Amino acid sequence: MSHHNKHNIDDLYKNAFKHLPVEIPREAELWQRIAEQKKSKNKRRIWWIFLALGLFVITIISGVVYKSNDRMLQKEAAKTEVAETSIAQNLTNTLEKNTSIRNKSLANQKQSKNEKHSKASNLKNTSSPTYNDSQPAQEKQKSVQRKSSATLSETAVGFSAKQKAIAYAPMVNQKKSGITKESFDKTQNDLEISKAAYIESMSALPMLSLIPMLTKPSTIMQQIPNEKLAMIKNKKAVHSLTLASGVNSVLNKVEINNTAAPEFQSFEALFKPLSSFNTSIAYGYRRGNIKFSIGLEWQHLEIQHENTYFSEGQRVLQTNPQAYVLLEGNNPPVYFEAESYGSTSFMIHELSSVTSQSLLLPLKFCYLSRLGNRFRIGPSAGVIVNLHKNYTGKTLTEDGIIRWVDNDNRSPYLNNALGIQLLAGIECELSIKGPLSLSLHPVFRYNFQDFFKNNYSVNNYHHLFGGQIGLTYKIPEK
Amino acid sequence: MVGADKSIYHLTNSYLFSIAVRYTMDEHLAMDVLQESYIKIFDSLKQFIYKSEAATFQWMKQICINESLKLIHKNKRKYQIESGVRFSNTVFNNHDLHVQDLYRILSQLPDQQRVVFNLYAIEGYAHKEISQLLEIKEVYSRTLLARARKFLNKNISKLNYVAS
Repeated sequence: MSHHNKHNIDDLYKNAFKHLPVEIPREAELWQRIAEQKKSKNKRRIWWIFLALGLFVITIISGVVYKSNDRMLQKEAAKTEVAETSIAQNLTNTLEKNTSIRNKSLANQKQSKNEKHSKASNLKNTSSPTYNDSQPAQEKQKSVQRKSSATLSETAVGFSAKQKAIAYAPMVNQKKSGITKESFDKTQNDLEISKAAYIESMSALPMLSLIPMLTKPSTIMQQIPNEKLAMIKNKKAVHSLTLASGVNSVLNKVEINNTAAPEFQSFEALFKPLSSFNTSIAYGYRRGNIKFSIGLEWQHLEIQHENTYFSEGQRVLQTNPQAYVLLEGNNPPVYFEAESYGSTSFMIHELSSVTSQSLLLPLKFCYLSRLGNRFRIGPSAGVIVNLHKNYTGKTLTEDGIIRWVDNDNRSPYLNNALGIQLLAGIECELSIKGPLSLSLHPVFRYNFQDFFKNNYSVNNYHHLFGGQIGLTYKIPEK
Repeated sequence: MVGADKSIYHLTNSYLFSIAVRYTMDEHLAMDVLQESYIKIFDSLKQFIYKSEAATFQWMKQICINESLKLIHKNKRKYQIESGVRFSNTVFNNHDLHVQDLYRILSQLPDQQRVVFNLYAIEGYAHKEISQLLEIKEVYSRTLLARARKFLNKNISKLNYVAS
């Protein structure tokens, strides 16, 4: 095309259409629409921002409440431990009395053929129980009959009073005799109170009134001519770097399986606000409305195991037969067993925590839509590769009895492993100035992996619900 | 204030509608463009600094163009000129070709070529400004313009139109 022709065609169209008025069909109707929209415009709200901000604020506040309650509860637990120590001491004293009673009864048995033999309680933590081998086989058989008619002392029942009771798996063996209804009801009541107190401490604060974000819309003068609008097809790719930090609340699912002791099977689900913190850096690639990002994230996760089992412990205050309640101590938590004529009671209590660290490689996609001139929002989804490693802390051991032990080394029960998480959420971007923008990202993460070893009696799954707030820098094109 | 808004509306709507139709090539979309444009114009009147009538009209035109491009991107379909669009009686007297023919040929261009041609040839934007506005490279803007011109020339020639 020649230069002359080029200008001809340009001029032809320019002259024809530059200031050409065209009559609008249904002009009055158009004005009506404009007038109505002007009225309703002020009522319009960018409610997505409020929703994201509200969720974020609620998570922060619930976490603060949780942490303050947690400190309070730990103080209470410490008091309880002190009380339990004294209770344990009382029981030990009682035990010594029982021992002397037993010895007297044994002595009496030797003298009398009609007296029945007693069976010592089985110490399973440090030493094997010693039984009186002189017991006749028939009497031994009788020893497994559940005949005990003893009642619990009040001090034994006091062990169950803990504020952090959660799901209650009744351990009472229905076949056990001698358990008084009164003591059982009292225990159950204590647990219910503890459970209610715990649930109340976890409840979220009332919804705060949403704080409207005042954004002054860009004036039209600013739109001319440097405003970037998404036009027909955005051929330009936008590269960005995002630094973000966030908090998560953890939904913790615990399964305890012990095939050797079916009564230990239980299931608990815990919700822990703000049990996870993370920091990340990510590279983003955006073309049009599609965004892709990949990055690195460090996450600190606190998984807490809390299990409270209770069953009736029996303390027989009879000369024949007799039972013993033996305690190892209250710190670290104890597992103890009282056995009387084959009836078995188990009591495990105490809480502890196992912590882990993760290095995460998140890969996510999102579709962003523009709302106004400075705000984008859209759904996002992706996967996270989780390099998980265990951390120092207390661990749960299983050597015939289940107990917590201090372990300054990494837990032998946690895996250093590779896991996969799925994530889904909402991504919001608000332009601040130039290449800088603020990003908000409420997200839910579903964790497939249980990072405890296969031979361990606890299965733990955790899922995260929380949000990240970050600063994004759009890398300018050269 | 409502009275003033209505006056502005009546004075400028036909010109802005002409612009909107040229970009969207669709009467209904052009009405939507106009609606959004006037809302923005009325919202920004408080901050607007009056310099001259021409500058004011230029400002309003640019709002209308921006809204047109937004809507085109949102809808992403080819637009056909509708016979219902009526023109004023102003006809370009130096040429034999009717304005409607020019519109029809213009409407046959692909969206990107039509927009670039409108912006460059009719509105007077430079390629650098077009590339920033459309977020495309400057070289690509030139390419689109060249293709548009070639197409228009070819089709106008078929109509036996001779430029003066």
